[in-house]
Amino acid sequence: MTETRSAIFTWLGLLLLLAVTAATSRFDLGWGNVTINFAIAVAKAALILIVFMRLKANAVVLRLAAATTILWVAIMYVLTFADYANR
Amino acid sequence: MANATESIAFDTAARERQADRLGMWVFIASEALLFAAVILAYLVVRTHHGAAFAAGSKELSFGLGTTNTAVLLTSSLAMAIAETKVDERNGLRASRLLLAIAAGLGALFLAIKFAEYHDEYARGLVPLFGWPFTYGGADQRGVALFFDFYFAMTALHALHLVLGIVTIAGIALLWDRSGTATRRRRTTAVALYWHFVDVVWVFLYPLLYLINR
Repeated sequence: MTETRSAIFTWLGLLLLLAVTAATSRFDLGWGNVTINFAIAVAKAALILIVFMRLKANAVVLRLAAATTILWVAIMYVLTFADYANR
Repeated sequence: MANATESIAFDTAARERQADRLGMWVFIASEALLFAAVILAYLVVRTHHGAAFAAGSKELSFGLGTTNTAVLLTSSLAMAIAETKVDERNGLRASRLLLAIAAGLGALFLAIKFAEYHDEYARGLVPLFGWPFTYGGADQRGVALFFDFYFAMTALHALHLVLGIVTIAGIALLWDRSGTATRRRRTTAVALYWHFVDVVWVFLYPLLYLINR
C-alpha cells in the first residue's frame, strides 16, 4: 500500500508542477519563462525516474545506466553548443 | 514458484528481473540519445529563428497540449500502480486492469494529438507532403521550420506511444497463458518503457507549446 501511496503523491506533485509551468507561461517573464520551464521539466523527469522507474528502490547498476545516459547526452550538447557558440 | 526463473542463467527470479531491468535501461539509453539528438537539432535551429519559433508555438493549442500532458502523467500513475500490484499475491487482476487503463489513456492522448493535427491541417500549418502552408504572419520560412520540428518530434513520440499500446495489448492477450513470474517480468519491462515515453513528452511540452506564451 505504501508504494501505491507514494505513486499517487508523485502524480499529484507532477500535476502541480504542470500547473505551475502552464500558469507562469501565460506571463512574459523573458528568460524567466525558459528557466522555469526547463527547471520544472527536469524536476518532473526526476520524479518519474526516481519513483515511477524505481531508480531509488533498485540496484546501483541501474542508477549508473541512467546517469551514463545523461552523461552521453551532456557530451553531445556541450560539444555541439561549444561549436555553434564559437563560429 | 517465487524462485522460478525463465532462463537457466539465473539463480533466482529476483536476479533475473534485475538483469531484465538493466537490459531495458540500456535500450532506454539508446532511445534517449535518439530523442536527445532531435531535440538538439531543434534547439540549434531555434537559436537562429527565435522569433519565428515563438510565433509558431502560439499557433499550437495550449489547452490541448496541457491536457495531453496531464493525460500522459496519469497513464504513468496507472502503470506505476500496475507494477506494484503485479508483485502482490492478490494483485494480478488489478494489475491487468491498470495496464488496460494506462493503454486507454495512451489512446486518449493519441486521439487528442490527432485532433490537433487535423486542426493544424485545416488551418494550413502542415509544411509536409507538398500541402499548402498558408501561415500569414512574418518570417513564413522560419515558422515552417518550427512546424517541421513540431511534426517530426510529436510524430516520433506518438509512434513510441503506439508501440507501447501494442505491447500492452500483447501482454494482456497472453496474460492468461503466462505464469506469474512471466507476467511480472513483462509488466516491469513495459512499465519502464512507458515511463520513458512520458519523460520524453515532459520535455517536448515546454519546448513546443510554451515558447513566450
